[in-house]
Amino acid sequence: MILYTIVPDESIFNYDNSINNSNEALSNFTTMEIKYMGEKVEVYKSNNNKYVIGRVLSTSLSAYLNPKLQPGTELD
Amino acid sequence: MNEESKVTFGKQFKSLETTEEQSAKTESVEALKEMGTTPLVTNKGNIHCLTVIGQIEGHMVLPPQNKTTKYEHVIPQLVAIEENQEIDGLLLILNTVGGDVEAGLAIAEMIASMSKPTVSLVLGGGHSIGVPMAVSTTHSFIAPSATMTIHPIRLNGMIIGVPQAYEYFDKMQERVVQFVSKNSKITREKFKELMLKTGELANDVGTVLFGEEAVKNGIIDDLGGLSEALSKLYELIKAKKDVVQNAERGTLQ
Repeated sequence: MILYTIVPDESIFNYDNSINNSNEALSNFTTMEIKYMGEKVEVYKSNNNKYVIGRVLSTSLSAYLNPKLQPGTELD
Repeated sequence: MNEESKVTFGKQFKSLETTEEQSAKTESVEALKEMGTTPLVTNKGNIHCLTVIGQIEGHMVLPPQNKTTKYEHVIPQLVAIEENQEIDGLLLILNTVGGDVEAGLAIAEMIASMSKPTVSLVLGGGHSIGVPMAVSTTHSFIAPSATMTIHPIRLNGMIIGVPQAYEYFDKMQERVVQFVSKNSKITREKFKELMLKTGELANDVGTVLFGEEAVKNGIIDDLGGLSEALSKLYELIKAKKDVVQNAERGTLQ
């Protein structure tokens, strides 16, 4: 793989282990992509074990205006 | 006979249009009642917006501290936009620091080969692999405060100190140079010159271009913001619709 970017490799791949350890919570942070209300969204699990919308992946403009799809909304 | 069939065709078309209009109306009223939103289908056309943020993620999943745009998300969406008859055009919004060469070029090639009108807008930054993505659309815009960094490709991982390593580098770089010079007004030579310029970046070879400089160098078509990008996109959609209508009229007569 060739990365063509202005970001240095060490900040992309986190070579520094001390940073890695403090970021353990971050590395356990996983997201899932699902279809909700007909639109593709990225969700993550919140502390109270509920799925929360992280971002809208759909390109449809009306998806962004739908309050039910706003990032931060908990799914039932 | 011929005249008659034409008339009925016209009538049918009209009645079809009114029922469509009616259903669209009831749909929009329902959407307004249910969710407080209105559908974004205007008489100017229905557009979709693709935002590219952070790193372009390709063959490898990047560590979670990176914000990424994944090509497996983007590529199927581009296919859907091209295939869906209700979508007239695509607005590509870029604010990216670069990323995987192959993923970036794949997305750029997909957009460049779309038949629907596309317009890109670079905001903040469109660096490295963001440059070919920005030029891939029918028309490109950059905000005056946005920047684009053009620099040589770096190789990560094991590098063997042999002449072939340089050859390989040069070949990978050539893919970007060729794509950009083919899809924008900049020449191959000028783009390579910007890429290999010294004295601009602190620890690297390359150039940082401000919005206006990117336009002056011919990489981006115009300086502008959201309203300019949208009006250009609607203009391209209208031009395409007119061509289709004229062609249809031609076959009818």
